[in-house]
Amino acid sequence: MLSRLTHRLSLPKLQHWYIYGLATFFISTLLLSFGLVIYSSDGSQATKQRIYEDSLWNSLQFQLQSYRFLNYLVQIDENDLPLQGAAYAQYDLLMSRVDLLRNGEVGYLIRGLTGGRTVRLLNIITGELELISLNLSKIEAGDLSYLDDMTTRLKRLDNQVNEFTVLVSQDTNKYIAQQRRALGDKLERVRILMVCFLASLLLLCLCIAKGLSVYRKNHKDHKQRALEVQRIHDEKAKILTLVVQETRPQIQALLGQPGRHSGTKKSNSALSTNIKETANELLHTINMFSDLVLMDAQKLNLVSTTESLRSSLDNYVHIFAHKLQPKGLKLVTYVDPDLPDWIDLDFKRVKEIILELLQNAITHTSQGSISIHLRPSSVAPSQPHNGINSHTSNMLQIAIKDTGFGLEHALQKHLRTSPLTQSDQHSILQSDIGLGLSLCYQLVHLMGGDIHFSSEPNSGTEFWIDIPYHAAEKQPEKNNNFVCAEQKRALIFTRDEHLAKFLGLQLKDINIEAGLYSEGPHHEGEEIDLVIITEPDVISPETESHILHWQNNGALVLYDHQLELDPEQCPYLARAQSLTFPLTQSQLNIRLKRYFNAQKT
Amino acid sequence: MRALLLLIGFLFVVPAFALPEPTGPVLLTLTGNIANTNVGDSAQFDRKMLAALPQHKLTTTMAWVSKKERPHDYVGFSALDLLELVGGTGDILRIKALNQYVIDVPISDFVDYGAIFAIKKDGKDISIRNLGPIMVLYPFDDNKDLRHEVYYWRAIWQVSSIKVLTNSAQVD
Repeated sequence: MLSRLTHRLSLPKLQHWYIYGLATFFISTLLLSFGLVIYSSDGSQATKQRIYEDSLWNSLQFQLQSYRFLNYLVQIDENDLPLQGAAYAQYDLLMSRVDLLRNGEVGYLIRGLTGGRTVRLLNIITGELELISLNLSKIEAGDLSYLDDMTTRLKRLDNQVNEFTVLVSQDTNKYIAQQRRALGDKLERVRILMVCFLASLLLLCLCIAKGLSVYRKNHKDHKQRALEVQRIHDEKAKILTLVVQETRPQIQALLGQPGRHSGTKKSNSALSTNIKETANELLHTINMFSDLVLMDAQKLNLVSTTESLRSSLDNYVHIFAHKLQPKGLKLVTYVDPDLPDWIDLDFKRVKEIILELLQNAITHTSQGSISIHLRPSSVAPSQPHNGINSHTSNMLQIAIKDTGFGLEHALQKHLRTSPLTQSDQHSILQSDIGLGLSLCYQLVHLMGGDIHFSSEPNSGTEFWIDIPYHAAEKQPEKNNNFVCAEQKRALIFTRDEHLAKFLGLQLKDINIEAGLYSEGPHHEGEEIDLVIITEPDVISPETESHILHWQNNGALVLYDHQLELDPEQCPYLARAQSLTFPLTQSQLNIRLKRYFNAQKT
Repeated sequence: MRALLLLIGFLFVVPAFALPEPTGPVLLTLTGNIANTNVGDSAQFDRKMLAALPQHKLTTTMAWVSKKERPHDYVGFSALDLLELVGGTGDILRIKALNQYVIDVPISDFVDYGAIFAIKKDGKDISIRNLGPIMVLYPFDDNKDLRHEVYYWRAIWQVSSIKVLTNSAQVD
């Protein structure tokens, strides 16, 4: 909880006015940019019109060319003949200007910007020039008698040409002045916009400066509060350590106390056992609290040790032997042969995880079996976590499965949704999922692993954990495990397929092929070397005679030591041996090694 | 040996006398820094002589005249070929139009941008009324850098004479 508070404090506290300031800046910048684009675009258009569509130049050129044409006609005399198209050339030169004034962009400008009088004048001039051109062919042919008429008509046209040029000039100047004024206005607006833009930038600078100041203040506060939080964590850890230190000797003393109570010997022993178990559980609960608080204070350091995986597992499961017996539960373990025996891992924490999950399995199983399966994981190793797996290249999977009634629906929901079960959350305890599972999830995440589960009502539950490990550099050179030289056959009398499967896995490592007994004459002619009985009620009298037959042929009969069998009803019992649970690979191996070796000699 | 030197000298001298006189109406007159002339100090060209120069094709619009104008195919000669023929040396061509308008065009424009002196439009000779007979044209449609007033002004129509100058400051 404190961790979450710390995490929340890391965000800078933004003031409302600061956000409003930023929003205002963005909106105003957007509008200003939009306005600038529009005004600059219009300004550029106005400039283009001024430069490329200047009708004034063309109208003056037209006036000049009309004088040149008149001058050319006036100066023609007999000596210039033949003209060889020179008169046509002069006329075309003039008319090319008329065409420019009538068509194209300039013509469009004249029609659009000047009054109707200008257009009418241009039409009159064009018509008159077309009429004058009719006589050009005669002059080109050498008949100069038409020259006077042509020059007179051209001189009469002079007034219209002048008026046209003046009108175009006036209107064009008016248009240019108007465009320039508009351009000036737009430039003024652009200037105002730029001032606004600068003001917005200033506002942004102020916002940033204020924001930085707030951030710095918050950062300082955050650091101070983080220190306070850490101090509280330390204090909490100290108090809990003190509680553990103070209570542990007393509980341990209680554990070491022999039964001195009055009454019968049996009742004393039961009371003493009960007290010891309760004291053990109390000590365990205190340890769990201590671990959770240390994890919250980030003071729980993982300590890797190099140990034998198989031996460690054997030791862990025997701690729970007394808890399995009252319910008649059968616990079997199996370590995959592909896993190295000696590995580097924080075995103390792995033990806590396994024991908690085992406790959970026992709680949720009224009858049947529980298995612990250690195997290589298919999950890829994650990034180095807490420095414990910086040189890790393998993942170990621990699967704990039971044949119980399954996890309650509410518990499943809490496990799937609780922030505690998510690896990136820092909540330390959730009452909905209990202290044991809380500790499990926290430890697995601390070790850089992951934990999953599946549960079905009346079918059982399976938890599986993937944690990183590193194989020890030195592995035992010699494997002392017993393996039958020739493959033997075993028959298991049970209805528990889960148990049968794990017994089968254990036997397979000793080169014994195991089969599950099924009713009927299926095993009549078979030669069986090992019989394992956990549920004798599946044995019919006929099968019993087969067992006796196999026993007479040297087969070993093992039966669950918790079964209360009548030797008279079970004739094979005289030579049978009991089998205790939890059953580990090494236990079974030693038992079979001893029997089959003795049989050889 | 003397005959060989005479032959080499003849090869160098011949180009100076190789420019024939125009037989038709003169369309273009070159003056200024030119080595080969055919009439006085000038080199004069009729349509036939201009058409004999290597011809280049260019398709473009004259958007500054009319935005609605469709592209036309123009064919004409390069200033480089013309200068090679007349032995012209310089950096600037002072081009004059029939209406006496004058503009200076750098010779580099004909190298860098592929400008031409167009004498045909859509396969036909260009009349004076249609802004011919010779006009300077740039590939405006192909190169957006050319769509600028500097090049629009250099695209002179109704070209009548060219003076080859070393630079724009050179006095006529």
